[in-house]
Amino acid sequence: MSRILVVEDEPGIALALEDDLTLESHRVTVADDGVKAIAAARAEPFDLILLDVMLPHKDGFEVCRELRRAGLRTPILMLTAKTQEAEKVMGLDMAITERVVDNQIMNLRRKVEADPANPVFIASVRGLGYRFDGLP
Amino acid sequence: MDAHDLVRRVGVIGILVVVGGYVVARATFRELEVARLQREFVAAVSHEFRPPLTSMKHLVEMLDQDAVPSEERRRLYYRVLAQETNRLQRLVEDLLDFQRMEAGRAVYAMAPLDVAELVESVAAAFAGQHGSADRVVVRIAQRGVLVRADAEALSRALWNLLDNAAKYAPADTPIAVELSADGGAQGGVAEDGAVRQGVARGVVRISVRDRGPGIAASDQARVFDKFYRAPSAIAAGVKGTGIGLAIVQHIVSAHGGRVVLESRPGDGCSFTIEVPVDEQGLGTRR
Repeated sequence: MSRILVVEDEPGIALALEDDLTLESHRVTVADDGVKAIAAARAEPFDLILLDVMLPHKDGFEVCRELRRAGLRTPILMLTAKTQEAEKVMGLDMAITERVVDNQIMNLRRKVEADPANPVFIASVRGLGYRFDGLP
Repeated sequence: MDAHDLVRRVGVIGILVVVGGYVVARATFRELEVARLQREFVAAVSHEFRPPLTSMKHLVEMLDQDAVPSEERRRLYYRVLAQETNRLQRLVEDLLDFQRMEAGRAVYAMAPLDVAELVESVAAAFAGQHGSADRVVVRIAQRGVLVRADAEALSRALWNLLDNAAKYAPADTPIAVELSADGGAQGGVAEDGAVRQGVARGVVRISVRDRGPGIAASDQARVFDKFYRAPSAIAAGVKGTGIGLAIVQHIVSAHGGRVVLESRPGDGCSFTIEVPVDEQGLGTRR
């Protein structure tokens, strides 16, 4: 059971993610823009942040950087269809960027534990959906 | 032929070559630019389709697997599915209509139309879909003014302007819609009911003002170009295909009007649709 912050402005996607993750016994909080996301992340400790890249007003990359600047070490999983661009942008700031393919989070727990400093994962959103299995 | 003639002829040829080269270069550059914009357009359209389809697919899967937590939630799923379907439908209609407009084949059914009613109903529908009812603030400076318009098209034009405002302006700022009229609208009808001759053609103005980041002067001329998306918009991650304003311009031109943009960076935007008043309808509204 983990506490997960979902940052997603599309109401339909946020709805499905929230219920799906809750079904898997996680505690989910939803923020629909970058400003609310940062406020929520600061307000309580999360085990994982699912961060959409395309957000209104303040994009996902900016949110990610701000979270790190604020000293938050929560693992961040960025949801984007443009993984190469994401890697380029996040690049040197982050200790780890790992590409997660085919919409599956493989052994996320193992990766977090293996390198706990500033983990940021970039999920490739192939096809039209993403499913999450095996979250810690 | 003496040296003078020769030099002159070479000179003329030289000029022609240079001018010709320039014309070709410009045309090529423009072709490449259009090709680039179209590529970006195709990518932008695909990105517009993705989120609604993603959410629909996920929600349908949950329904199918009976994984919905409660009846109330199930009803919410259906509502969201309906909204996303409408959204996709609007996207497709926009694309097809745009294609027709570009080909000069758009068909409009013009009829006398009460602008105030149209503005109020579009604003209400938009506010309903975008959260709070007070997000859109409507001010009608003049009632009873008629225009000759295609209701659906004019509604679409206004909707596109509202949509842009909502996309670019912070969620907690209001979008101000104002309807005003001037010129013939005020002085049209004499006591015996006859429309006074020689009165200047009246103009109706529907303006949509937001408190977003505004548009830089260098971008202002281009925002109406099809497929064009201002670099600041792309950088800000705003979703869009780049045809919204092109559609507005098509529609408003077809109505004998124009769209006026006023904006300063940091000071929001104001888009004003100006269309001629329907003189036949002047003063006949009770």
